[in-house]
Amino acid sequence: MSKMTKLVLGAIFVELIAVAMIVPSIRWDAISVNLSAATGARRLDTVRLIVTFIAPLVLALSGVLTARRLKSPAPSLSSPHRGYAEAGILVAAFFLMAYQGWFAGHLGESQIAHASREFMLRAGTIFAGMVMAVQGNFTAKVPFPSGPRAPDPATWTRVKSRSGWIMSLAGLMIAVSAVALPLQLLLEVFVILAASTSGFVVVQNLRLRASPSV
Amino acid sequence: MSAVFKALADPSRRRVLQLLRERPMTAGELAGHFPFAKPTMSAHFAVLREADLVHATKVGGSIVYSLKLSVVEDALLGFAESLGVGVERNSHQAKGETS
Repeated sequence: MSKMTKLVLGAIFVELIAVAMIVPSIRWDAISVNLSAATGARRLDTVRLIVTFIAPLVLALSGVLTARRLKSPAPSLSSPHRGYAEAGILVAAFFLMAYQGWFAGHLGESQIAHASREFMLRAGTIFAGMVMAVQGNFTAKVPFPSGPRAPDPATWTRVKSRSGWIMSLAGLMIAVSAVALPLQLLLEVFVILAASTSGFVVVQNLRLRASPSV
Repeated sequence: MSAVFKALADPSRRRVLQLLRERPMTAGELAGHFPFAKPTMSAHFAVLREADLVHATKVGGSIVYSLKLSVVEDALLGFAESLGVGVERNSHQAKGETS
């Protein structure tokens, strides 16, 4: 991982931690009122708190896994593969920062209301879907790794093509759902699609490890 | 993008891509599937490389080709294949060559 990528990721991680620590403590009075209420406000603030706290953890985990993969001498990743992985983690980090900021910014409020906020949430989700679709589009363009423990090229081609299709279709579905679904369903659909796609990609990558070329 | 359309417009080049779906192959292995002369195959490979649809690696004395298709390019390949783009033109050319 290049120094610049590490620097940017580190700065974003510090920002995510700061938001997760500071914003809930500043607004705790309003949050506790919402959490003790038996209305939709309770559910809204629960979701906002989860997103606010989970964002730095997701970035830390993704960053560590990406750094480990890029550092590994065997198999040696091609230069486009490194660029693809670094660009992917940077886009994810910026997205996490925006999403966490949006959710933390509304902590303690009793409703989503406001048309401009709804627009922002929908626009952000469309952006996330499109990023996933574009990332999926280029997944199979990455040349296969070389050296010891490199995966079998034939399996690599099949796995990356399949993963790319799944990511692109899921990304497009997320973007379409951001336009078509009611706001209450949006987060659930986004989480289900993103989590199932990530799970599929992880399983596919495990298959690659299980089929070394030598 | 026009290089991609040009590459996918020819059925022989599409066949090369379909063969590479199974596994990476050397230029010789790929050429064995076609009744063309070496220079013709080299020209097809050059068009595919120019369009960035295949990845060429030199291994020993031979060049190994592997697939390098994005999802959009893969969809375009399927689309061109199902419509039979260029098939008629190629059969006319083959008839011209034999007569």
